[in-house]
Amino acid sequence: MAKKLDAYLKPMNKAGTAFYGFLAVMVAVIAVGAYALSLQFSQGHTVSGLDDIGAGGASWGLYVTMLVYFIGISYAGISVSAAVRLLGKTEYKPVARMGELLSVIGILLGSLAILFDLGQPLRGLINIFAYGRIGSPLFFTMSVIAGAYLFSTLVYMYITTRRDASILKSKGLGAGWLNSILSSGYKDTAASRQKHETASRYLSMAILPLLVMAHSFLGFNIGLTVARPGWFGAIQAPAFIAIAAASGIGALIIIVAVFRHFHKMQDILTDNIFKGLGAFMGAATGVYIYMLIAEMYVMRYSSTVEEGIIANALLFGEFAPLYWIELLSFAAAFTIIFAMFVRKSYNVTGIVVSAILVNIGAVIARQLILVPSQTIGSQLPYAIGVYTPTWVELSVVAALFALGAFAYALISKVYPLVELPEDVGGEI
Amino acid sequence: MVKYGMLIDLNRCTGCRACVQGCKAENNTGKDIYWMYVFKREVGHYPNVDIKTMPRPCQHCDNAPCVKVCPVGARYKSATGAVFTDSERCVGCRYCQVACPYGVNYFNWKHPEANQYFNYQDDEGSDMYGSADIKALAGDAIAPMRNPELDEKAGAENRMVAGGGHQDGVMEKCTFCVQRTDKGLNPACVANCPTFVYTFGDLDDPNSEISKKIGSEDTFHLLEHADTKPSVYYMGTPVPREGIDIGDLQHE
Repeated sequence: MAKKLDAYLKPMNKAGTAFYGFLAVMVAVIAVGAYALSLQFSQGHTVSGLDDIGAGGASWGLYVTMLVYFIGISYAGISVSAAVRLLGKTEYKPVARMGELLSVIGILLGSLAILFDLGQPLRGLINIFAYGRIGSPLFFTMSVIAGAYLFSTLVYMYITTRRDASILKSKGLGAGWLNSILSSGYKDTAASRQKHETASRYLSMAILPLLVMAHSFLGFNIGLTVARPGWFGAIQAPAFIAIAAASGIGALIIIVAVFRHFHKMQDILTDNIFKGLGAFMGAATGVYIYMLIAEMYVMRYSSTVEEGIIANALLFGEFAPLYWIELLSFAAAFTIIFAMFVRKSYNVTGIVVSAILVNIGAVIARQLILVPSQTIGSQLPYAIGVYTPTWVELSVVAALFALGAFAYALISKVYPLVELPEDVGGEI
Repeated sequence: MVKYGMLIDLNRCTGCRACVQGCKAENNTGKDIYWMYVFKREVGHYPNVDIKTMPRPCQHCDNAPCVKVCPVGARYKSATGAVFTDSERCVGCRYCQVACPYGVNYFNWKHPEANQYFNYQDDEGSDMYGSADIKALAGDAIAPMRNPELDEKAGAENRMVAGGGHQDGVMEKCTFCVQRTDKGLNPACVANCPTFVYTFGDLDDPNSEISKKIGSEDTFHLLEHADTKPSVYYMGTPVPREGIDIGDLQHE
């Protein structure tokens, strides 16, 4: 039994030079991003490539793309945990906590992205609480997501984490201070475990509607704007849920694969888990491809003048290279998963490649939803413009990714990211 | 309560853009910021060409999409019918900008001192006509001055809506010159037009000039299908999408 426990705690072993090297690179990227951000504070948003829509520019650009992307990948957490707790799919338990941590980090990074996008970020933090208007989709999204979704996920993580903390504390492993806080008041009895299971079950049920609301309203931010051809429409809400599912599970697959590879945890993070996650991601990708096709078909068959202009630019014009890369990424990802299921032979490498393609497609998809409707989609005859992100925006976005990776890696060293099963650790 | 509205007669507009200049001088807007904008397009094929012009202030909609989406209530519909931006409360999310079908919103991408045409600061050599910088540029002519009324609260709700100092990171747009209408004056664009394109007044008063004209002429709104219910009416022919833009002001 001691051996089994060690297998779960492998990632927390003493860090080698590779790990510290990785952290150092992440810190360097964060530093460059911080410098870029300081320029934004001192000179204003003019250092970005954004511009007024009347001047032909895009006012919502890379930062908003990343806001939507990061909130999107936070889908991974509760959906995996809900599958475990509500559908009884206990084989996914080993990746549930990784998914939840991805959710938490995703929401925090998304919140940072929007904070850096605001013209007055400090005022934004205060005024959102002081003057928030429920009628505004933006406020509702950020209060429902950042508030309820994040808080619920944190509570959920806390409930499912107490047993592991108490086991570690009793064995003197991990970070003593963290284990003390998390496990205080916990007794590892069968009755207690049952209570925690019930609590997590009900919490999963409560978080699911939040999940649907959060991603729907993220889509409604775009879908409710009558001003923007290409944005306005009912499909945005379900489409955002589909792409969040695909990219979220995809991001989780990538993280689990990295973990499995570096800590050699093939016996715990099994091929079977990848098969299941891959299947779900493939299905969600298929749904999103369907929505893309439906949207484009309508725009090309019969549409307003502006929608026709946008559709043309996406298919054949200035946005065509990005659009086709997006379509091919999604199509390739879907084909890989579909072929695996037809041939009934799965390999983790193929699933990880699919996951990477889905996430590339997801970032491009968000950017292509946002930008053309602003630069070439005006309903009054403004000049046509272009939007190219500057190094400032790219650095800040890279820094956000680095911050997420840094936090994830660091937390994996002080806490087991794979939930200790019931038969490991024993009663205390 | 008064309900401000504006009627723009496109048959009279020559595209001189005195309204744009008047708005700039009155509201001290920075570079690339045009609270009042005039579209100018050449339509047709040579030799059968025509120049079409169309002023575009903020439409001060009754069903304003910008008011609906503002997360902090900085953008609001005043009791007088105008739509204002509280520059003390605005957090610069720019949702009003992407939500406006008419493109009337402008964001302060730069600090005001980096974005003005003149140096408005009080410094050595300045007097009531402006700073040394302005006088050097203007010579003997009376130059535009910094309008101190912009720093004060205005409007029926008494909020910081006159534009303030065009603070960095905050949205702004046409205010129907609230600092002027509060005193019973017409907006600067209306006052400056040489060909009587604009009629400005109380839409709720059946005897006002604007109400009588709207009642007797064929008027329309821009982008009627968006159902924004603007307070700005037009007469004549709007600028079409076809043709060549010959008057693009909004690129430095």
